[in-house]
Amino acid sequence: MKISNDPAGDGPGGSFNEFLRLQTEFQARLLEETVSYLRRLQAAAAPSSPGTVVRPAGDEIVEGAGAPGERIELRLEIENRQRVHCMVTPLLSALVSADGVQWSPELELSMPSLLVAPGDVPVLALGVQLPSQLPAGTYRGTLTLQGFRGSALPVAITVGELPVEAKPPEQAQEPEQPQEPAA
Amino acid sequence: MTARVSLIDDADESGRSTATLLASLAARLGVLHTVSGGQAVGSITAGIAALGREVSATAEGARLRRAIQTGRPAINGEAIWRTLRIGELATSQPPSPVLDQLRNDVALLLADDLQETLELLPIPPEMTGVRGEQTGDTPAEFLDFVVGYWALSREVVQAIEALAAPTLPPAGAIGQIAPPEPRSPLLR
Repeated sequence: MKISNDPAGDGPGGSFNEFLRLQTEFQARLLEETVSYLRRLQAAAAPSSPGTVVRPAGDEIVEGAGAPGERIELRLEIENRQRVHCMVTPLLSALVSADGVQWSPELELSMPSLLVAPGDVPVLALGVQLPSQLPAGTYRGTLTLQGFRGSALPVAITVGELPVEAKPPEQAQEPEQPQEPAA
Repeated sequence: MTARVSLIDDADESGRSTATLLASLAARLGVLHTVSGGQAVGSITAGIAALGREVSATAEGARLRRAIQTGRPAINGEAIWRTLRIGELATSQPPSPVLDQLRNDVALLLADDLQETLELLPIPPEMTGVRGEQTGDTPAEFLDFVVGYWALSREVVQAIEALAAPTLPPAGAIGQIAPPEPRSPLLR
């Protein structure tokens, strides 16, 4: 066996270092896999907490429309077909228009969560304030009922053009003046 | 047009009923005798972090996460999380379904057949089984935990307020306290 003093790897130190490196990597990987296996085993043996699945009635989309600056309402009927009460917490994802404009809406809710009794069908009214500077277009995203399985519902909010009389004075009265290019 | 959804039981489970929720709660309490404190806390921490990952995908959660991420709390929190190896503790344990557990416990408080079901104990609990094995190995991050803690805390507050709402007296109500009982030698 050829042994050299070259620290690059051929020498006894290099070979031993390589051996140590491989051993360390192997032990680390072994430990990682063992922990992962034990974690899965623990998870499988843990007592189950029965959950809830959201089933849409059809291919419906939660829709809303309005002009910039307006407050619109998204409405969703929720039927609790389970045998016990259920807490429902709606959350909206960021919405994106076809032009690539991203908008992070905020839901206006007096009660962010709703307690639904078995057999009840309350209507969840989600108030959304459309920012006054929001460009016109259809913004798409998802409405999630937090913690439920299969809970993302498609959302589409159509934002129309701001009416001329509702536009700010400088825009409504002097539309012909060209904008100064940004420096 | 108003969209409509139904909340139903998972076909792979026995479903949410007073009996299954009570069995689940009893089993959770029973497991505490067989696991260490580190395992219990690690599992709850992992569960809160998993909730935080889910909520971070929403507009409100992402906004909160970005705000914390850009300030000193994130730097200090990450340092504590890493140095005290809280992340390792949480990542090594299966995430506890904290939100389901909270909702199930709230449902038990409102069940109209609880007394009869309590007499049926012990009820054998259902195990998580294959579903538990499928939980990923995603590391529990500090920001996941913070956002998850926020979402869980908000749900706790809302749940307790919803429980109290039907019988909550109006704030600022004026009432008459009961008059003192008449003095009697029999009460000495």
